[in-house]
Amino acid sequence: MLNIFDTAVVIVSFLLILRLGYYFAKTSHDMDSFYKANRSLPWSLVVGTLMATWYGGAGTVGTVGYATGMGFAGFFIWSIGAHAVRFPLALWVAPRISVKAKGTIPELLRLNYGKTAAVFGSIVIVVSCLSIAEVAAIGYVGASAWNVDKLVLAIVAVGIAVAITCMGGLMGLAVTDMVFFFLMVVSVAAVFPAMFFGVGGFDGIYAALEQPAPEMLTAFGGIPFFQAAVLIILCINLYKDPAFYQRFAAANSPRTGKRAMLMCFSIFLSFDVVTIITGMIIRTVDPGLTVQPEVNYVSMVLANLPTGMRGLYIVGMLGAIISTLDGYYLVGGEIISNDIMYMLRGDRALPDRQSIFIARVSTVVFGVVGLAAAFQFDMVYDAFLFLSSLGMTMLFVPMMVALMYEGRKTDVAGLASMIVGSVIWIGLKLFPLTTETMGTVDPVIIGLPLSFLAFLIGNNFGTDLNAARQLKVIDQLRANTGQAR
Amino acid sequence: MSENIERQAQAMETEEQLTMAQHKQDLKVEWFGVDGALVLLYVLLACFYGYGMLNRVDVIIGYFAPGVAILITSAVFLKYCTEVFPFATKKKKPPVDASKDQG
Repeated sequence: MLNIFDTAVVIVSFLLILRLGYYFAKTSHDMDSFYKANRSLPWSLVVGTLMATWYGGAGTVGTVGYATGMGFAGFFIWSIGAHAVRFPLALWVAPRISVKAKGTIPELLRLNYGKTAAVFGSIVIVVSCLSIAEVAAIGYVGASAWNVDKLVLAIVAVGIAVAITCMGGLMGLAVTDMVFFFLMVVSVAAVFPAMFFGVGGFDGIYAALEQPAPEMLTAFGGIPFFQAAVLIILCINLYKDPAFYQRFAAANSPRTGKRAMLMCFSIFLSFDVVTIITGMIIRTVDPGLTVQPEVNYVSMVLANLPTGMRGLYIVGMLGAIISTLDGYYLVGGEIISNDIMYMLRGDRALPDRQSIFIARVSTVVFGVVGLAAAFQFDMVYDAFLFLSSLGMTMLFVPMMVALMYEGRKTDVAGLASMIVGSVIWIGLKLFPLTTETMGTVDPVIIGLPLSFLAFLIGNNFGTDLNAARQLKVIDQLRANTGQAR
Repeated sequence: MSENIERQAQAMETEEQLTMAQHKQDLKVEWFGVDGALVLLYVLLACFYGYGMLNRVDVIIGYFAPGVAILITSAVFLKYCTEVFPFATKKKKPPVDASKDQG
């Protein structure tokens, strides 16, 4: 539990961080500065904001919880493997986002596959931007730090996330993310050696876990190699993440986004070692997991830190969640005001001030809906998670083709791939497929190849919108000079 | 009139060639430069941490891993401190995206 001094440190830190966000908010005057920070984010800020947005409650407290059951497999499958399949995202996709797709994911879909595809994409992405799992994760920190009701702390944290987003847009968000990122990594890593050597290092961990959970001490945790490979492939979900998309587009050059992401992988890896072994330490101390591991973790860290540092640790942990929330709220607000409103107004963009106003109102709505879904309505929570998960099979193929392939892409191909991907995913969720070698097959494994096949077939029909647009520009040029055909 | 079209077409072509050349340069992966070094860093760290876990090397996991996380994060944070104030006062770039108008 935090004492009064720790609580004062938390309050003062958040006030200072909000003041910092407000200071940088003054530079956001128009849409480009509000949503994309004038496309001038330097390398350090892109690293900080990518890291802070990716590592929310699920990435820190959640990983510790998973590692209490997975052990080393958490590192060898989820960390090494997951980040390895994301290298192409950094090396080839991120620079292309910066060069070719300066807007949002729905805009990319609209330009390549037309409005219907963009509408479907917008709905799924906006729902995923509610980040309700993150809102729910706030409860673990609140229970351990102050023993307060999880809803009360969630309201405060969501309120801070909404305030940061509304005040400064991406610029305010990036500078505050950086502070949260620094506090989170330093506090979580700094307390780790005391906890690790406190249980006797690996000797203590092996002695405690060799009998009750020997699979935790193997590289793949008893999972067959083929199944482990499938789990790793599933980690390509990051390729359709709208927050990463926005950061790459806001970087001051294509190389900046690429190198920031490459740098993040080494930080992710080192940070994952800390959180995964922390999970094993929790299991060593409490082999039967009598206390919820996530709550136990925060309590253990607080017991190992001196007064003052405890407050900064809580700022880092809450900051990890807040920075994820504000990142997605901004993306969601941008999609509503720049894409959905644009299409509703018959392909006319909103004036800058109106666009930013609508994005701010949307951010507040996201906060309220996220809180209600996370704590009040179980069915709504499930429905949101269902729609968010659908995004992978629905969006991956059309997005990657739009970014990576220069040739013919038709509206029918985009739509066919999205519809087939979604239908297969929903079908296999409702009627799961089980095999002897793979167990229950993840719908993504079947959905993605079929979505690609649908794209290839659909590409023989419909209109190539990029080619049509180029022809239109040439015709317009000829008409302007009085020599139209 | 046809001269006008010719000139505009040539200008468009030159601009397109320059943009394409810049884009190609931006999209190129420097395997023997910074990009390759960052990929190599990840591979080396993954092997090192993996070795530390499977061979019970306390120092690698207990001190080295959190140390690397703190070191890289602090270096990025210091870089941020030196970049953030000039960045905040930087003038706005001219808009380059005309895709919205093209519908």
